[in-house]
Amino acid sequence: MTHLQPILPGEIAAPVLQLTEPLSFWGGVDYLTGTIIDKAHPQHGACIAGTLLLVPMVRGSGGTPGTIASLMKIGLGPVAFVLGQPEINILAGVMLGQRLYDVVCPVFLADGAEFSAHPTGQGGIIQSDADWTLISTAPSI
Amino acid sequence: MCDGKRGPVLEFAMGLLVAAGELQGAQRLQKIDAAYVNTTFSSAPSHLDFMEWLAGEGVQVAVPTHTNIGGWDARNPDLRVGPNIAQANTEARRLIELHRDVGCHLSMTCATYQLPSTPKFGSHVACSESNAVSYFNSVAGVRTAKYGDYLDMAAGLTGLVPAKGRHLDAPRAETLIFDIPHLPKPIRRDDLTYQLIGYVIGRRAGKDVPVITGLNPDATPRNLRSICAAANASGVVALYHAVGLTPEAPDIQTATRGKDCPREVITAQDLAKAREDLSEFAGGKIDAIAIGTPHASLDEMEETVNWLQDRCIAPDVTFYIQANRFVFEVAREKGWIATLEHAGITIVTDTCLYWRPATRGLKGRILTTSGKFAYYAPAELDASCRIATLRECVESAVRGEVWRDPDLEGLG
Repeated sequence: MTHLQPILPGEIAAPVLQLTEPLSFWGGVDYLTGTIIDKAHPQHGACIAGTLLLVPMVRGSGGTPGTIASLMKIGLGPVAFVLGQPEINILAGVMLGQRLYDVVCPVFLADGAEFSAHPTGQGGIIQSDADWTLISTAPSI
Repeated sequence: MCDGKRGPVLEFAMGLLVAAGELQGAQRLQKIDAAYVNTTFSSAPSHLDFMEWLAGEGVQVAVPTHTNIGGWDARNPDLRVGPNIAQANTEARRLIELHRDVGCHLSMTCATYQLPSTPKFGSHVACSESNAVSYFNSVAGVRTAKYGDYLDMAAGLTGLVPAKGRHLDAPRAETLIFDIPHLPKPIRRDDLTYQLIGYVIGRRAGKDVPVITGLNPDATPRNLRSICAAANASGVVALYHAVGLTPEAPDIQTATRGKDCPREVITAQDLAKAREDLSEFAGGKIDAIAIGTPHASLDEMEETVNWLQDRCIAPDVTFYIQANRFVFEVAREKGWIATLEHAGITIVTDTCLYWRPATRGLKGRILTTSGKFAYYAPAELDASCRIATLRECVESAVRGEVWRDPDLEGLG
């Protein structure tokens, strides 16, 4: 369980995809399919569409928002983001995607060091009173 | 503006800036003098939708707003090749027109700091292009955080950014000294050395602000730019100081704010290793030359003319120099463009060579002076690269095969 700071709050249940290294969404993710195409990235070949995406850090280009908003346009964006750092370019992409395409995509901030407790698998974000929590339903190994 | 009384676009722009500020923990917004937007830069479909929305609502930017490169070079309409090229060109041109419609200056360059309108020392701007962010902060003393799509345009529309990071005096990262010991004179003076220093610093600096000592006191703005560009390909260096050269580093005490900080040495061997990292081949036939990532400076144009010595490049080599319109016009007036074109060199403006759709003839074995190009092009193009000096590029282009400068043996 990881405590979350709500940025664009919303409850969600979805497959969790954890990025284990910083990723540039421009050039690193195909904006037509959601596939990670950065050959040097550990999650190369994985698809971020429909995932609850854990992003420890964004690297590189300021083109990240364009990839995120373009994926939201065609329904292939993540369904929620949990950020390890205050990544304003993820927020910008999501906010434009919501405004132009009327797609909801919650965004939360968390302690990046706690990400490793959440293996890729089924998971969700739940609210209890004022607290927001990231949970994994996949069994820990 | 937040309440929508000035229309939905400004409501969105203010909402985005406020949300970004809250995410970063900013206490207030900061006025800016200019914005430098990246929204011409990508074929991401949301860019066209965003700009059609802005133009349709009839909004205009509030501060001078300059565009980065786009996907279309009006001087070279057949530059791009590949499937659906007609549609890609049409969309790229439409995206540029929409920026004009909302009042942007169509500067179409990643080297905005070369324009005569560059803001003065101490002013605040919003910039997204990584090499320009680094140049503004480090070399020009103009303050900007690293922005990105839509936040940059929101800043242009409102004249505001979150007051955070480089926009504030107080909170700055720790500093890390990189000492460059004595290098042989030809190496010390060549721009390639600055490209390689940038690459090494980008790899090693992490979140610290690099303070470089021991550079040639005659280092030029072009050399300092090369550090910016290469460091922001191999890493993220939004600010660095070069002692005795950059405006916030008259001496090491000022640059480090008098604090003790760790010190690393960059050796000639480190630079040779960096060159190896950025070179996928060492010799043999070449297919193309790419100069100007970021867009070439005037002195790079002049130096190319001088190294050519009235010779032409080999017929089976494609040679591109990319530059912005301002540098292009000055070079044209000096007669350099005619000389370069006569030699067989193609001058590209308004766009970037390693951007898809692919540039005609730019494939195979490519020599470049740019660490940024050598870093990104192999993933973006059907190409392998070698980083070289400008003289080596010109000599190799004339010969059709790699020529290595014997004076630079120490750089591998």
